[in-house]
Amino acid sequence: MPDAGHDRVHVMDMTIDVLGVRLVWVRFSSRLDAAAVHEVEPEFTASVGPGKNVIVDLSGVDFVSSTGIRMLLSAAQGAQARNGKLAIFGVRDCVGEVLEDAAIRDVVPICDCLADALWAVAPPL
Amino acid sequence: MAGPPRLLRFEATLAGVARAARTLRTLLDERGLTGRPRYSVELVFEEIASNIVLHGAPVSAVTTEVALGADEVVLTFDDDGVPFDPRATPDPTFPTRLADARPGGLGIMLVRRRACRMDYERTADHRNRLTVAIPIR
Repeated sequence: MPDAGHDRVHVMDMTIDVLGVRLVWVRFSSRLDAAAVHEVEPEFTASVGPGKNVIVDLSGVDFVSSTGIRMLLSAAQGAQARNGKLAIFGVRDCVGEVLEDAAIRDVVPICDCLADALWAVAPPL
Repeated sequence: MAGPPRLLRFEATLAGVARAARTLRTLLDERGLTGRPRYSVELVFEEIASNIVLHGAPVSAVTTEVALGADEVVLTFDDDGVPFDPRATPDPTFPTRLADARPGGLGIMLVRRRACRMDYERTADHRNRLTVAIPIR
C-alpha cells in the first residue's frame, strides 16, 4: 500500500499514486466506458511520464468497453515510448473476456496479482 | 418473461449515452439479467450508442428500443446521423507487438462477438436503423 508522503491524484473513478520516481499505481473503479474515459484519460495519460512504470489495478472495475481498451493500449504505448512499461492486474472474469476478445493480452501484460504486475514492469536484478 | 419493448431516448452526447446506460441497467435489474448475458447487452448498447454519438455527427438525438425476450435481448437504434452500416466494417487486425497496435476500431468487432443477428436499414426519411439481437441463454 502507498506510504504517507507519496503524491496522489483522484479524478472521478480513478486514483493515481506516484510511488517513487519510477512507479505509478493507477486504480480505476466502476466502469471504463466512453463517458468515463473522456473524464479520466487526460490525467491518466499525464501520469505516464518519462521512465515511469505503470501498474493498472482493475479490481474495482466491472465494465470495460472498447474505449477503455483503447485508453489502456494508448497508455501502454506511451509508457513504452518513454522507456517505461505498463502492466494490468485485478481483472474480473467478465472484463477479462472482453480483453481476450480484443487480444490485448498479446501486447500488454495482464497479471494475476500486484506482485506479478510489479515483476512484469520491473523484474528484480 | 418478455414484456413490452421499452424506449430509451437520449441526447447525442457521451453524457446522454451514460444516462441512457443507467436506465438500461435498471431495466436489466428488473429483468434479473446477470453475468455474461448482461455484460453483452450493456456492451452492445455502449459500443453502438457511443459510436453514433462520436462518429455519426450531426445527430440530433438517438432512440433505442429495448425488447427483453425469453431467449434474446433485441436493441434497435434509430438516429439521423450520417449513413453507417456497421456490418460492412472489417474486423481490426491484431498486432503481435505493442508498438504496432493501432488503438481503436474494436467496438464493432466486440459487438459482432456478442450478437447473434444484426440488421441495418437506411430509411426513406434518411435515418439509420440498426437492430442487434443478443442471446441471453
